[in-house]
This record gives sequence, structure tokens and C-alpha cells, in this order.
Amino acid sequence: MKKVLIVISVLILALFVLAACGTKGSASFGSNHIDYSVVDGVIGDFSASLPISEYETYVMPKFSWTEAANAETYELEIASSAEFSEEDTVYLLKTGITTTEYTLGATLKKSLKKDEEGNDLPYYWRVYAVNKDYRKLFTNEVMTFYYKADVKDEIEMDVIYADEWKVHEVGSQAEVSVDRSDFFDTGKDSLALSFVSEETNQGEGFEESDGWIVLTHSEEMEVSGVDAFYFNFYYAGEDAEVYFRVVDEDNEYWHAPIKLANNAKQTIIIRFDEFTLRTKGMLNVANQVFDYNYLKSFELVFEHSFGDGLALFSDLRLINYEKYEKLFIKSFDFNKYKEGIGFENYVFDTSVSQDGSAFTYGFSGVPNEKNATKIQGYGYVKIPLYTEDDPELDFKVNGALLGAGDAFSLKITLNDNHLSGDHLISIRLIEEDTDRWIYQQRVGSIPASGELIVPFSAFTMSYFGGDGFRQFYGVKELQLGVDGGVYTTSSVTISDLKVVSLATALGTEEEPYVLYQNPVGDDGLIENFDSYKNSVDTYYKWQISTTNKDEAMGIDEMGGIGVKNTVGKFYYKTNMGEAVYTTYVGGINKDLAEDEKGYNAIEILVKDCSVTEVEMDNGSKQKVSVNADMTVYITTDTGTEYCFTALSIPKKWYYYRIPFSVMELAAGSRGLASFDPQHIASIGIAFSDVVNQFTQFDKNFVTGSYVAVDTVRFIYTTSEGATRLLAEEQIATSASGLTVIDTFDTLKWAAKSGQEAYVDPSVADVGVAADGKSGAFPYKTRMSSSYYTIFSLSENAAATGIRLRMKSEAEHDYLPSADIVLYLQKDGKEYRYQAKFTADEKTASIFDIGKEWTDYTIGLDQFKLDGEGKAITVELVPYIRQLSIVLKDYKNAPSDTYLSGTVYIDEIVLDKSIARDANQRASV
Amino acid sequence: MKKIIAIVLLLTVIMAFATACSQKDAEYTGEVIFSNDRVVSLSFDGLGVEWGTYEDTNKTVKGSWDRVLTAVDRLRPALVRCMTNLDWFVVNFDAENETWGYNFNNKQMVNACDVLDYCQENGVKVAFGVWNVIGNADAKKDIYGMIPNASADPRWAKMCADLMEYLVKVKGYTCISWFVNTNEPNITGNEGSSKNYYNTYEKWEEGVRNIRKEFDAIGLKSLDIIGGDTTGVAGCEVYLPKIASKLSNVVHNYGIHMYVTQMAIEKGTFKETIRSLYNITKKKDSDLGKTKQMYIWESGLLTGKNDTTDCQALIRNYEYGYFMADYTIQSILGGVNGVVYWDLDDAMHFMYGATGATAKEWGMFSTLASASPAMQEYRPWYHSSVLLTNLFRPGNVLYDAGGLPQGMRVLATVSEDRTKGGYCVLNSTTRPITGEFVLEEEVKNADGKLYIYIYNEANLKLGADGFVVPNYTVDGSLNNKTSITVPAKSFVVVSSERL
Repeated sequence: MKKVLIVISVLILALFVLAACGTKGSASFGSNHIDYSVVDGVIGDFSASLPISEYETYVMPKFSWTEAANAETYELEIASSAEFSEEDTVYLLKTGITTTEYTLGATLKKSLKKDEEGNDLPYYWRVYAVNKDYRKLFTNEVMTFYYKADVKDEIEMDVIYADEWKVHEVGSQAEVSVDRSDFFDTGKDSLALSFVSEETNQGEGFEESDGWIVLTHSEEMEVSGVDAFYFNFYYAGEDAEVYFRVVDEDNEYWHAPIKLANNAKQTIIIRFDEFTLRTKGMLNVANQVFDYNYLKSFELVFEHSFGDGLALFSDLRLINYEKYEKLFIKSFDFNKYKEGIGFENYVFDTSVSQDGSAFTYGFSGVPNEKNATKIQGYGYVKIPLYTEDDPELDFKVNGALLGAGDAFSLKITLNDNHLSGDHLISIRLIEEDTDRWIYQQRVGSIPASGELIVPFSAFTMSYFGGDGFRQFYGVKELQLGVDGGVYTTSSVTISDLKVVSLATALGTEEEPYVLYQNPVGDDGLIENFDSYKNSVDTYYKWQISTTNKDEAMGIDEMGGIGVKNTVGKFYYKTNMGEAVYTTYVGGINKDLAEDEKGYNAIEILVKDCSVTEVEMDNGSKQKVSVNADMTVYITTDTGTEYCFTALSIPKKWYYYRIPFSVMELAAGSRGLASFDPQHIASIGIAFSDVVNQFTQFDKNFVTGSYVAVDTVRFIYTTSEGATRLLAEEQIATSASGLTVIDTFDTLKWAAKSGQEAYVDPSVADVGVAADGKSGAFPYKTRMSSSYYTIFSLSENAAATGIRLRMKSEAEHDYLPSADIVLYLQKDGKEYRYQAKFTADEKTASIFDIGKEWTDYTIGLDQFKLDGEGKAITVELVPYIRQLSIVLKDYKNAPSDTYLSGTVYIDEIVLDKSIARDANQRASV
Repeated sequence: MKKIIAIVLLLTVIMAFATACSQKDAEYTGEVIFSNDRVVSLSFDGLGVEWGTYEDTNKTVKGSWDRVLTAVDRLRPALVRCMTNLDWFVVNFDAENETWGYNFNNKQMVNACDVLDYCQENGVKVAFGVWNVIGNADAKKDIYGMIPNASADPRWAKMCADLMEYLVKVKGYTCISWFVNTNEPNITGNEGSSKNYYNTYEKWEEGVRNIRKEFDAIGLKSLDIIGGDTTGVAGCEVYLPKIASKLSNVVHNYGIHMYVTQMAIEKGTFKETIRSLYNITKKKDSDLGKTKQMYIWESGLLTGKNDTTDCQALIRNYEYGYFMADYTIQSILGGVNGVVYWDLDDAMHFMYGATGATAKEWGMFSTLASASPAMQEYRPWYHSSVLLTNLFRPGNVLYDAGGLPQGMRVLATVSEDRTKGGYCVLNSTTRPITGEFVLEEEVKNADGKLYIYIYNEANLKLGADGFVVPNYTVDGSLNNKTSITVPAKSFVVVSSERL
């Protein structure tokens, strides 16, 4: 029984053990015999097979090599330099390759980089054989191959789906769709973009995004063999600026304006070298080189589109410009167009030279079929322009394209001339959208050679039929005429009319003229217009914006202050964006910038010459009050933009002195809060008048207004704030040596802003002189009231002292005092001289200005540089440019109140008969 | 007699001890047996990948699509998640009259159809959905006015149904098995910048019910809606029990997103996290694990993620593949029956900012033209994923094993017809582990070969075409013991077929 129990127990135990250990005993499984031995031993020599070194290929090569003894795996390295560094532009390491060949999954960039001569640089490759103990390089020294880009004449990018173009979320929104109506008659679909003013003009709170629409199409591509973009474009709608923008290899944004014609089908061609780097508000600025060999995105960017608009965009191609160049008129062959000529207002006698390069139109002053009753001259010859269909190019162009340049060169010959110097030779261009543009050359200003270079930007609008933008794409008519007076027997020959590059035409092919440059002189002078002979010259020195659509410049002799009294005219329109005129100054001389009194401000002498009357649609005249606002921009060589705005420029000459310290970062610009004058790259002066928008009259804008600018210069100033200083004509010195600064017939004085008591002075009917007028200068006790006047003296001005006829008036008995300060300006720098007196002298000086008219006489010895340096010498008198009077009474008045009073000044005279050390008063 | 009684008592104690022992893992003996009583899943649903609609297709290089298809062919995903936006298709929306139309003839739909064509032709099951509620989070710019009511807006359900009707009934994409009603609805974000800000659970639930009704009304009864698509443990802990309680008759797939730290994977706590989520769901819906399953529809590592750029810094490293293999094993052992990797290709998704679009780099490779060749190449975790997706096929039975040493995780698989199988052995320790591995379930592999792959930087082998090749090809059977040394921080796959 015991044995039975024991056997049973053992059996039970075994069962449980089996149950515990699983359903199948491990002993029942067989075994796989696997040889895990690894390859080892010294690796044998091996070498590269393909691609052979220096191999040129247009398809990705397969890499192969010979087998190496004892190699377990291979490692393939590909790099853009023989260093095979992870820092290389391209570096790729593939390990664990078990075969003697390998095909990359990755796509290498074709024509990776080019050397200085434009030759492709190679890729480098090498292979290591590896086993447990060894790693061995193939026996070749170095292997290279060239992965060549397919050179293409043209790359077409058709519009297929609307959602391949995305409207940026930031900015105004727009509808995007595909127009499949063959709008451009090219057999291609078009991308249609439409926006409405509810989106583009949302007003406050949307400043950053309003009127700004970005449409992006991402398509990364290698670009080789092409050098320009071609596309069809149409825009109908309210004002807009449109840019074509691309993102290059290193993610920089490059853009070029689309010269827009409203409601006209356009053919646009933009060469790669017309693109500029978009830096404003951009973080992606890398090498500042347009790396067009690889492009990533294509964009249409609308700016300032504050209304409704519809744009169609089609047939985008990357093209070889040379092939398309024939579309552009380079040189006018009048034989080509002479059959279709017509006339406006006068029927001219016309002829074309045999070679077609010269067109002559003559007139006799005799009435004819177009001018039957009068011979007042304003006639034109109308010459149609067109581009012939070219079988090599499968598209149509509307009108003639002038886009291959930015200026006309021509020669004007006056034959049997009886025209007056004020007659105007007129050239007009009619665009496809019927906008008409005009350039008029005064006969009296035609150079002896007759040769002129006229920038496109010198053409101003003479008829607003389309969008008002000067684009000179699709120009359908050239008009030549004579304007400005009765015709007398003469003829005009326009010859060698060519479309040229302004920079090249003014310089040479090898050394183009550097446009828009005004280097700073040692005296700080940037511009005074004195060297200009012809209005068109201004266009060579100043770059003009297109915001106003027909911004224009000119010169005029209008009594400005300058050696030759020549001033510049800067045109602008009301109710539009700023008309910006920019010139590049190239930084301030380091020594001057670092000088203790180096330039720290910009001074602009300006006068508003805006229209005072407008003609209404019904022909009636209406008085208007238009004054330009002026914004001065300073852009540094890093592209950061600073600005200061002065509102409502007066219709008198004023110096605007703007310390750099008051200029602020312009909207959208990034950078430091202040700038180093050495790094000033350009100065921009902008004019606009939006205050009067739609308030005075039912007109969209007012044309014909301009601001006269006499000088632009850097100065040193002690003022901390911006100041506006009245400037008037030069003050003469009489034979007896008297220089009358002011008799207060009119007010030439202003209060200095920022002072404690800032109240404008006025002219009062109080005085002892014959006119009975004097200047009234308010003051308060226990405050400083500072006033100043600006003037210029003649070169022969001489004085030894200054005399002021003054009295005070107040309902209290306390008498004010005055500090007299003379400011000199020499070599572009300002020097401050203040009269200082000792305690004893004060009794005789202008302390305690009495209530009766008194002459206060102060010799120039009393005026010391900064109040304590050298005195003003006679030789320095012609440089006196400003007189400042600071009224105050801290001494006499009670300290617990502010009491008002007025100081009247009847006359201020510089006199060379005053003793230099004078300091006296005398009753009148 | 007393002695006899004592012996019987002693034996009883021994038996009790032995029984107790049998219910715990045995001491590691160097042998790992994938026995039939350690079944993890009787019918696994497979592994897959997020395959986006290439929002900016033209950012890819020429020939990219061919390369994508080649890569997917080799990856053989069983599951694909593909997301779109209704903003891409809805046109002429008239809020006043509540009318709108659709433009399905656009690039986004073409791209989506390219993905769906592949899935339809290759039997890949697809979860197709919409990222966000339609409209602009900035109310001033929104033209739809649907964001405040979020997915509860009846128009939203109608739009979703119209989209799916077009895809399933018009285009015939029956491969679409699930619909995703907004991505990660538990992340509501900030007001004014997130379209999901107002999409509370209640609104989301109402949206699911509305969509279900719309689907049913147009005959899409078999098109399931994913329950949740929520992300993170906290969000899932809120949504899953609610869904299980309130929507168990509507939702048949509990979908979650899990981005986890490297540490959670290394320590093996991820499995417990998944198990916990599984259990709280199962507690409310006993059909989980039977007629319903839990999937991870987005999976990835949190460690290495750059929140600003939404890029994963580790994807170029071998260790990412190793961790994702561990992630896969632990999540399956935790109870999920399908895992979808985030994601296939860097070129699919972008961050849109003021300076343009930047790619979200999470992919197994990149077909972006702007990517460096090194970034374009198949990354190590593509190869590790190829091994797993090809080994753990849908319909397979999955097995665990007991008696494992610390740091070893294993998962074995046998095909439905018992002709294919294999196992994955992962060593998370810093020292090699050697063991003998064997499958109990008989596998009749025709060629009698075993293909052994070792995944780590030193051992991964590539063929001439750049795809993974076995380190060893030997004669043998999965039902024989195979001695394997798994290097530290590595995994080994043994398969009866070439993967």
C-alpha cells in the first residue's frame, strides 16, 4: 500500500511539474544549426569601377566597385568636396552595404555648384571595405563625377489646379480659381485671383495685412539654360502694386515688379537680373545672391490693393531671354510704322530717312485740314506700334514691348528753326490700357548735340485711361509733336530713337553710370541741384517710386536759396501713398561722423508749392488747401529703414532740421533703434497729403502739386528735437554797414518746440518805426520762452555788434530778461554763440527789459562760442544764420506763480559802428 | 499510516508550490518558447503608417512619387491613416442660406486619391478623416461660422458624409474602413488660434452621432468611426471611458495617439500604460478585444520632438528604429491590435509660418527636393519598420513568451494558414543576451529557410537597392530551437520568409 501511495504521489508530482513547465517539454524541440562566424582577416585591395572619375552624367549613376577579400560590408561616401566632411554642402554615408554596387535612393542636385568661371563642380565618392577588425579604402586616389543639369531652352509651368496656389493666411484673403476659357487666347488655362474691398480694406486693426495678398505656388526645380520668366497677366480693378516673387535655393525672397496695365492683357517678361532681394520684414537673408539655379516657390504679391480686383495669370514659363528678345523694340525703325501714321490737331509734313532711323515732321503755321481755324500749336503725329507675330514664338503680344530698357536715347534736330526757346518738343506714348504719357523738352534746353537720354520715369501722365501706372508694356502708339506756342515754319527730326539702359547709356558698357548717387560732400552737402542743366538730369540722381504712378522731378529757378538759386521740384499727388525720391549717399565720412561735432542731423530746405485751385469735372475752379507732409527716410547699408515725418509743409522756405536721434524705425523694418551715421546708405524724401482725402472736393486725387527742395545736407545740431526754421531771402548789407535782420513787417520767427512756454510769436501793431509794427513775443515768469529766426547774410556782411529795439509789457511790475544767441553755419556745421555777462554788466545789458522802447546794444565780443569760447569775429558775420532770443524771468518774479507778459521787438540790426565790447542800453 | 499521511501532505505542499510556480514566469534558462498558451492576439490587425496627402506635392523631387510607392511596396503597411481638410473641397459656402458645393477636382483630392488608389489595390485598410473643423480660428476671417459649434454643427456631419460618399461610393474606395472625426479632439488649444477650441467632448460626441446618422442615411453603414483619435494618456483616460459608455453602439475602434518618452519605453512602463487604458475601456465595453479593438493611430517618440518646428531630431538615428520596435512590442502586449507609425515621408506635412512652409520631419525618409541627400535616404527606422510590418501581418496569431530575462521583450507570430511566421527579440539592456528561441505552433514554411536580421548600427545590412537584407540565411525551422545572441540595445528578427 505504501508503495502504491508513493507511486501515485510521484505520478501526481510529475504531472504538476509538467503542467508548471508548459505544454511541451523543451527537450522535444530540435535545434537549428547556425554558423554565426564572422568575416575577419586582412582586407584585400579593391578599386572603384563606375562611375569612372571625371564622369559626366545626366542621370543618377549606379556606384560599383570590385570585391575585396575578407570584406563583410562596404561603406559608400559621397560628398561635395574631397574632404568628405559632414560640413560639406552634400555629404552622404551609406554603411552596411553587402554588395559591390549601390543605387542611391536620394536625388543629388544637378550642377551642384559652379566655380568662378561658371563651370560645374564635381561630386566626390569613395568606398571602404569593412570587417570585424579592419576598414580599408579602395585603391583609387579620388573619384569624381559631374551630375549635369539638363540645359533647357524653356520650362513651362501650366496652371492645372487652383489649390496648387495658396493665399497666405496672413494678409488679405482672395478667391483663387482656374479660368478655363482660354482668356489669353493661347490655349492655356489661367489662374484667376479675385479680391474685394471688404477683404483688402478692413481698416484699423488690419494695418499689417490690409491690401497685401500673397499667392504662393510651391514647386522646387533645378533651373539651367534659362534666364527669364515669361507669363501673361491681366489685372482689372482698383489701384494695386504687383510683384512676381520667387524663393531661391537658400530661401531668400527675390522679387520684381510687374509693370501693371489696368484692364489690358499683358505679356510680361522679367529677366533674372531684374529681381531684387526682398529684405523688408524678412528673416531669410542668407548670401544675398539670387541663386536661381534652384527655385522653390513662385508667388504673386499684391501690395496696397485697397479695393476690388481681378487678376488672371497664365502660361508661366522660364525662358531663354535671348530667344524672346526680338519681341522688344530696341531701335525704332520708322519705315516699319510709317504706313499707319495719323495726326492730332495738326497735319504735319512727314518723312522717314531711307534707313528708317530718322523721322521728320514739319509745320508751317498755316491752317490745314486738322487745324483749320487756328495755328496755336499742340499737334501730334501718331505712329502706331506693334509686334509682328513670330512663327518661332507661339504666342501673341499686344502692342510693342519696351521693357528691354529703362530710358530712351534720341537726337533732336531742329531744321530751319523758328521755334522759341519755350516751345516744347513732345514725345507721347499710348499704352495698351490707353494711359498716355508725355515727355516735353524745352527747345531752349536742348543740348547743342541734340542728344538726350530720357528715362522712362521722366514721362508723366497726360491722360488717365487705364490704371495710371507707367509700365511701357504693350505700348500701342508713339506720338511726336510740338507744344507751347504758335507754330512757325520749322521741322523737327527725331533720330536714333532707341530703348536703352539708363546706366549704360550714361556710362559705358564696361563701366555703367552709377545711378541715383549723391555722395556726401565734406561740408555735408548731399544735394543743391545747382549742377543740373536740364530737368531730366534729376532722374539720374534720384530714384523715383511708383506709388503715385506718375511721380516726376524737375528743376526750376524760383528764388530758392542757393548759389545758383536752382531748386528741385518733387511732384506728388494728394490722397495717394507717398511719392518717394531716393538718393544713395554712401555713408558719412568716418572722420566727420566721429568728430566731436560730427554730423548728427539732416537738414532739408523745402517749400510747399502745392496747387491752390483745382478744376472740377464741370469745368469750374475750386479753391483747395493742400500742403504736403514730408517723411524723411534714412536707410542703412544693412537695409534698416528709419524715418521722421513733418506734417503740412508750409508754403514758405523752411529748414527742417531732423536729428538722427529722433528718427524711428520705419514700419516693417527690423533693426536697432538707432543707427551709426557711417552706415547711412540712402536718403529718401517722401511727400504725400492724405489729410485732405475726399474732404474738400469730389475728386480722387489732385495732381500738379510739388514741393520745392533747395538743399539736402547733413549738419551738426545741438537741438535734441526736430526743428522747423523759417528761412527767407538773403539779407543785404547797406553801404553804411547796416544789416537789418528784421523790422517785423511780416513774421519770420517761430517758437522753439519743447520749451517750457511754447507760444507762437506774432506781428503786433505796436512800434516806434514808421510801419508801426513790431514782433510780439509772449513769455511767462519762471519759464523760458525761446524764439528764433533763420536768415542768410550776404558775403559782404560785416558787423561789430547787434542792436535790438525792445520793450516789455505786462500787468505786473516784474521785468523779464533775454538771452541772445547767434548761430553760425559754416562748412555744414552749426556753431552756437551766446552773449554772457558778468554780474556788474547785467545792469547795462538786456536784463530787465523795461516798459519803454529801448535800444539794447551788444558788441560781438560778448558772444562767445558755447557761451565761453572765442568771440565772433567780423569775418564770421556772413555765416550767421540764426538768431535766438530766450525770454525769462527767474530773478524778479515771485516763485509761487506764473505771470504772463509780452516783449515787443521793433527792430534788430547788425551794425559795424558798434564797439565790439559794447553792452549798453539807450532810450529811444 | 502517519508517515503516509505526512508524505501525502508533503507532496500536496510541493504540488501547491509547483502550481504556484507554473502561474509565474519561470527562471530564465536560456530557452524561450513561444507556446500556444501565450497567445496575445488571435487575429492581429497589422502595422501601418500615416500616409498624408502631400499638402505641397510640388515640394518633392521629380520621381518622388515613384520612390514613395517603392518604399510603401516594401513596407507593406496593413493600415494607413490619411487625413484631409474639408476647407480644401468645400466651395461657394453661403452661410445665410446654408448652401455650399464641392470641388473635388483639385490637387488635394488628386493627391488623396493617389494614396487611396494604392491602398485599394493592395488591400490596405484606411482610416480617412479630417484634421480640423472647417473655418478660420480667427473669427474675423472666418466665413463658415461653424467653429463655435465645432463638429456638433449638423452642416459638419453633412459635409463629412458628402466627402465620404464621394470617396467610397463614387470613387469606390472601399478600402476606407474608418472615418476620423477631427484629429486629437482632446487638444482644444487657444481661442483665436485653434480651430478646435470649442470642440468639447460633448460636441465631438454629438458630431460622431450626427455623422453616423448621415453615413447610415447614404448607405455607408459599414464605414466605422474611430472612437477618440485622442492623444496622450490624460486625454485618453477622459475620452475612452466616455466613448465606451456612451458610444459603444456607434464606435467599434478605440483609437488613440501615443507619443512617449524614451524612458517609458526603456523601463517597459509603456506596456503598463497601454494596458491601463485598455482596462478602463474594457471595463465600460466588454466587447473590446472581441468584436472591437484598440489601435494606436499615431505613434512616435516624445523624446527628440521639437515643439516649435514639430520635427523629431532622432529619426536619423538607429536608436529611433530600436525604440519604435520596443514601442510596437509593448503596445501590442499592452492590448492594442494595430499600430500606425507617424509617419512615412517628411514631404507630407508642413508648418506654415510667416516665412513660408517648413517640413515636419518625422518621416522614414524624405522626398523633399530641398532635403539633403542624407535626409532623403531611407532612414534606419524605415528598415526596422519594414522588418516589423512584414513580420506581423494582419490575420496572424501573436505570441508572447514567459521566463524572459530582465530587459528582453519578445513577440512571435504565425500566419493564419500556418505557413509563415517568425519572432522578434529585443534586448533593452546594455549587454548581449543569448538564448534559444522556438515556436511551439507548427509552421510549415515551404523553403525550409530562416532569415535572421539584426537591427543596430553595426549590423544592419543593405542590398544594392538600399533595402534591408538578412544578416544570415540558414536552413532551419521556427519549430526548432534557434540560438541567438541579441546585441545590447538591439533587436533580432527571425522569419520564415525573406522580409
